[in-house]
Amino acid sequence: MIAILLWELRQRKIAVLFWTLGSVLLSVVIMGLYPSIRDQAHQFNQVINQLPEGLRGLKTGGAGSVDVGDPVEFMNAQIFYATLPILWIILSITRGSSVLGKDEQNHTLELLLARPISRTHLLASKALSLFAEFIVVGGVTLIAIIAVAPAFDLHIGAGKLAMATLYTVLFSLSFGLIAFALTAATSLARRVASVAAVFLSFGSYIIASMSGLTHWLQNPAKLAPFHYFEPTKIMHGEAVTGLNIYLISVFVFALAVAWLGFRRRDIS
Amino acid sequence: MASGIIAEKLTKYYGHEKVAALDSLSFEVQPGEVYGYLGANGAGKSTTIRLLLNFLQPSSGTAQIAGLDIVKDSVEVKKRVGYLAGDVALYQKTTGRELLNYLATLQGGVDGTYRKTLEKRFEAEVDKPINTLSKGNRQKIGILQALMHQPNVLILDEPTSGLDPLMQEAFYDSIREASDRGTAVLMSSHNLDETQRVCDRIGIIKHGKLIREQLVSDISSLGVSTFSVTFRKHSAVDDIKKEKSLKLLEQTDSNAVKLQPTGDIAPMLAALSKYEIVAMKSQQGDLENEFLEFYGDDK
Repeated sequence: MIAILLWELRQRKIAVLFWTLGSVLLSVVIMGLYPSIRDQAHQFNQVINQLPEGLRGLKTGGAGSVDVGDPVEFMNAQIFYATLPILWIILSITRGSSVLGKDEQNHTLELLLARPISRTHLLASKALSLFAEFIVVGGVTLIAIIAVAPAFDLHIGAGKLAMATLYTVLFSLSFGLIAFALTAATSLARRVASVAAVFLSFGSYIIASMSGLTHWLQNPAKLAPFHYFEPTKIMHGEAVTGLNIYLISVFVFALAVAWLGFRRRDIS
Repeated sequence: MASGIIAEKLTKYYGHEKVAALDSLSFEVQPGEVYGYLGANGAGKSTTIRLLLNFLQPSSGTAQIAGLDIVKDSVEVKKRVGYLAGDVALYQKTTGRELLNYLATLQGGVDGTYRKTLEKRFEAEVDKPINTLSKGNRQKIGILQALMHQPNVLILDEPTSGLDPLMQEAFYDSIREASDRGTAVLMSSHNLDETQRVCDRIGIIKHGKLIREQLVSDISSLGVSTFSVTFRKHSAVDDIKKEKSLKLLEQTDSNAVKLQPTGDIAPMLAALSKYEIVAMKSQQGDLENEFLEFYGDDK
């Protein structure tokens, strides 16, 4: 398992470096805007809170009003609800659909399956490499956020930032795992699996964010994963039961589907 | 030593297709035997190989490799098998050495000295990125990964594709070496000369069914000879078409033909003696004739 994990990370080292740098730079640049935004918070809040609820929801996750002068709400609106999830969901879906799918498409999967390793072992190793990539990208981004936040007067606490980053990583990974399960279980083309996962993630983002504006979306929004993703609550140390249930369900279900499908199916 | 490959009524249907891609295939490859697996494109060769490696699940039937079931004992089977895919796919951005190190770690039991011997024998360019290598040099890396753990069973799909004649010789040496060690070799090939030269026995597959198995040594001794005959008069070509003791295979010139006896050679020679012959040459039966005998109608 370690051999496959190390091989995957070595193959991806340049890409992981760029994704990590991108996440860190974007987070640091956005945090750097906080002092000027805080100083003009009154005006910003007026502008944001006068936006139609749907547009405001895209930033706040459907919250009724927002105070961008508050460090937690700023981090929620600018980093944990919008920037990092969008960035990491793209990475997660791309990797989830290709970590096994690319090997199958390029026929290098045969090189691996011709070795004395079970399909379960291979599947677990590939899934682990997906997690490992996120541990690197998320871990380094978290260290940068914790290190830089106080310099911009974002005094939230390392523990709360760590929890928000961890949940953002897990939430983003959930969509990658759906793409992973689709390619592993069904030999569905990578592109199809990616489109399905993108549709689910960004569709749910739009639905959850717009639910405050459109009354009839409020019930369907309860089916959208983004509805349960509430970084503000996480940073305030409140329980996020809905999100926990969603994450556990997707992780267990996606890995089970991937395993049940992949262990006996024909390799195309 | 455990047996090589035994397939019993191996059958494969793809999806909801009603025609089997592989239909009740049974054959054996003994330890130390090199078995040539022949057939046209789409005949079922690759399906057989992919079933044996458990890349595909059989619809029915069973197979054993080294005494182990290919489905239930798939992991144990692969400790004993070396596999080379037709048009082998390799990771492009790594060097051959990095890839071989990786595969050796996954495989286990690779003798470093033997691996180096193979690298030297095949003059493999293991320190260059694979995406910079020619097809032949990539094929060498493919051959190395199949042979490096000295498996009990070798399953090779078009193994010499892209290799130059010198490297083909090196490959034949390696196959003989493995065969002498008791390795059972299943080798699919479109190169009939190569098959006749390297293999002990052949199996011909057509439309998913094994239609013929034969020792290669029997093909040259029992195979039907063909005769190239040049007549003095052009009219003889038309006249011999009426002779029942021979079969006209091809008119090679206005006064020259290639023909085959329909039974014993004597009646054919008696019939030919009626015509004025300028030249006559016989050709020993070979694998190509054997193959074309089954596939000629499909051309």
